[in-house]
Amino acid sequence: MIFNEEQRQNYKSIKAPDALKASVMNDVSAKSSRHSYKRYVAVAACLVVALVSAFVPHFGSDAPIAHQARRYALAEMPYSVAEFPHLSGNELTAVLDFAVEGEAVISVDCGMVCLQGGASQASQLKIDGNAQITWIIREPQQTEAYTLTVKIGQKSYSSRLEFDSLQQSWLIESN
Amino acid sequence: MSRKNSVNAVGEAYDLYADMLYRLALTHLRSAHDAEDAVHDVFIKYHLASHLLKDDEHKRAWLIRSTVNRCHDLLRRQKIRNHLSLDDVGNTAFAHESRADDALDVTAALNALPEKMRTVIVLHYLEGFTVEEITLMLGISASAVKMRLSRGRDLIKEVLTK
Repeated sequence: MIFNEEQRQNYKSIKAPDALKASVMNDVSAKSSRHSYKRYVAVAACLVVALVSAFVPHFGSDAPIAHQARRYALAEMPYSVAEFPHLSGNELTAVLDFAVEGEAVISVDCGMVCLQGGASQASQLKIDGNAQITWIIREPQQTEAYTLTVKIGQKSYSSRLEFDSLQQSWLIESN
Repeated sequence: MSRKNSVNAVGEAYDLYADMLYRLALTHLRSAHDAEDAVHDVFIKYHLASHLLKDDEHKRAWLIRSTVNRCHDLLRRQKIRNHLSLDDVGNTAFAHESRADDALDVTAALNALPEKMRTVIVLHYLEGFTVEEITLMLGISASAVKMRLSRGRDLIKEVLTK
C-alpha cells in the first residue's frame, strides 16, 4: 500500500459541503418543473392550433379552399356560388345557382343581374324555379360593399359582395 | 420516470456518492470551489441521464466518469483562461477543510502525478475500487489500469520519501 491507514482516513474524512446538496437539489427541482411546464405549454399550443384550424376559414393563396369556406357561409341562402367573383377587365362577375320553389325576385344595389345566356340585364330580375344568374358590376370599388337581395314570398335573403384585403380577392358572404 | 421520482433519484445518488465525487474532483482541480462546481454540474446532468442507467453499478460508474470528464473540461478552461497560477491552485486546495493539513501530504503526492494516473490511484488506493471496477468506470482496459497504477505507485513513493 502506498498510503497508510491514517492517510486514507484523512482523505476519506473530506466531505462535500452541506450547502452543495441544497444547491444541487434546488437546481434539479427547478429544472424538473421547467421541463414539466414546457411540456404543458407544448400540449396547450398544439390544442390551440388544432382549434383555430378547425374554426377559422383558411386564408392564403389556395383559392378553392377559401371559396369552399365561403360557400359554407352561404348555406342558408337559396343559392350557391357557381363562379366566385372575379375581375375581367373592369367588370366584376359572379355566377350564382338558385334553387327555389316558385317565384323569386333578385335585386342588386349596384350593377346588373341577368339569366345565364340571357341578353337582358337589369338591377332586378324575377325567376321561377331553378336558375343560374350572373351578377356584373362595372368598375367596382374595393372600399365598397355591394348587396344582393332575394325575395321569396315574405322571406328576404341578403348577401354582401366585397373585397377582402387579407385574401386580396372579392368574396360573397351572407348578411 | 415522474418528476418526483427523478428528483428523488438524484437525492439518493447524492447521498451515496457526493462525498467520493467531491474528493475525486478536489484531487484533480485542487480548489474547493471548482470541485463544488464540478460535482454540482455532474448531478444536474445525472438528473437527465439517470433513467438510462440500468443498475447501481452503472450509475456509480457514470457518475465517476462524468466527474473525471468534467474536471478535465474545467482544467482545460483554466489553462486557456490562465486565471490561476500553479501557486494559487496549491494554496486553495482543501482550504476549507478542517483536516486539510493532514491530507496535504497525500494531495502533495497526488499533485505530482499526471491526471490520468491520479484518477486511477485515487480510485484504487484511496477509494478502494478494484481494477475491474475502475475498468468499467473509466472505460479503459484492465492492463491500462494496472500500468497506470504501477507507474503512479513509483512516482508517489518518490514524492513521499523525499
